[in-house]
Amino acid sequence: MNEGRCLDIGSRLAAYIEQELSVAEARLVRAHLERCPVCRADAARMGRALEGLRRLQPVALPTDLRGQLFARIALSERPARPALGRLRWAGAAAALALAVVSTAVVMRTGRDAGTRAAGPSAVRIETAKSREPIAAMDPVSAMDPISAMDPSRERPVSGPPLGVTPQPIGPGSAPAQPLAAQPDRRLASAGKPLGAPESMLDVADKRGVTARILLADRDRAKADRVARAYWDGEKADGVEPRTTGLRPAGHAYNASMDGPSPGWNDRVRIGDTVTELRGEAEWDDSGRLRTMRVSAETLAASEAEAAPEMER
Amino acid sequence: MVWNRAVNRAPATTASDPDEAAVTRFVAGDREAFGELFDRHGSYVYNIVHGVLNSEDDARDVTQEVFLQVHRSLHTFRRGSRFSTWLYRIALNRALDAARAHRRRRCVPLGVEAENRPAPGADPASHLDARSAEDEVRRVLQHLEPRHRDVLVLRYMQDMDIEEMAEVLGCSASAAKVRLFRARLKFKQCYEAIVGRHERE
Repeated sequence: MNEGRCLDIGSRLAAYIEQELSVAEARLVRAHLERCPVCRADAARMGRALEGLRRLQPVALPTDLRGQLFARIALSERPARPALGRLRWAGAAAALALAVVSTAVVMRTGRDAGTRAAGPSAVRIETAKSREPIAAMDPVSAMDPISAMDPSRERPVSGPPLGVTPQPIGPGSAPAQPLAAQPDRRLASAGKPLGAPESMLDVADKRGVTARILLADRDRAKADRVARAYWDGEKADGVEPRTTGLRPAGHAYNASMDGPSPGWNDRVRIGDTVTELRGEAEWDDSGRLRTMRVSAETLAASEAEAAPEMER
Repeated sequence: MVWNRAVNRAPATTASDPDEAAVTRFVAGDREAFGELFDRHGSYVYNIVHGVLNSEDDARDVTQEVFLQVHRSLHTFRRGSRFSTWLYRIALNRALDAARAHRRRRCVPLGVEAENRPAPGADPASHLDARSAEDEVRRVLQHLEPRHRDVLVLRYMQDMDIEEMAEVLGCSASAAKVRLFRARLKFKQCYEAIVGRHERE
């Protein structure tokens, strides 16, 4: 038996085992195998490998996947917010439309024991153009605070944080969407447009409890590094984090809570510019972050993309 | 879970095709129809994606992305072609995209499986017994190129024949055949390298 013949048979072994050959070809292979122990051994090995493949069983569809999917669909079908007007961007002639999206990537809390006071607190942050959040990241109660984090160690991994300074709400300046009455509510605002992907807001109530909201589209690796930095910080303090991983959603990354993730963001796209980021957070009296709501307004990368949203 | 492979072998689209009826209703504004489509095909899509990615988290994400994309673009679905083929092609492409992205992020060299090795002093045979043969096969699949993995997933997990695979892969039947041949060969080589080594140990 010549070598070429064995090679020829070898290329047909899998099809022979799977009974995909014609009758004539199968007969040829069978006859060769009867005479050639090398090919017979090869066929036996191929048979074992294919048997493994044939034994593969379907995996069960996660029971909560349907609910998550339809929550996202419902979110994507919500009517777009009214236009804020036509804007010009960097001299572009085309006007761009605004879409309202909701996003949050990394949230963390920290506290400064020296300035802590008893009692629940709530913080509202919003940029100059406040809009109603379209989604709530809730519950966030699964997230653990970072204990005794030294603020001086906090440095942005992916760019400087926005200069958001918590400010007390004065008389008559009640926010548009108040949380439940909270004596410590504060308002923080940013007076300039935010720039993706490094948009982040650091907010702190008067006790020094801070929450960081980070929007990081485009670059998952960067978001991962940020999350990792927080993770390490938390580990350094001996507190296990409960930030449940970053999940891709379109090109944005949202913090994902257990259960349905209404914060999924499938409207943000590469090239979109985040113009406003707004959120509110509430802690319980132990410093645990209870709820956080985040919304962002983006300038779509192209008018064509945003136009259908505007017409709804 | 009800697993009905027959849906993969659905007859060519006809007026009585439940998928086509659901698509028609959805386009006409019946949102419930999309739920029907998900219920009929969700498991298949999830299994295609899971077969390529071998990660529940990733499969969950990508499956949702697939159906979101379908939800957005169902009105562009070309009548006369089979909905399931169209859907599975989207699923496969999405899964392959995710696999490539994953590959760029983390390279798993063939043969480095420290976490899977038996503890020192442990009985290798019992170690092998403890591991599900199915897990072993799935792990071997992960060592293949996505273009080899996908065709094996369609053939062995979705039970498709060459013609169906060709439709989903978007190639000719002969090209699908060649791809399957190469994939089987690669799989055998990896299977022997990984499983064979464990057995020798």
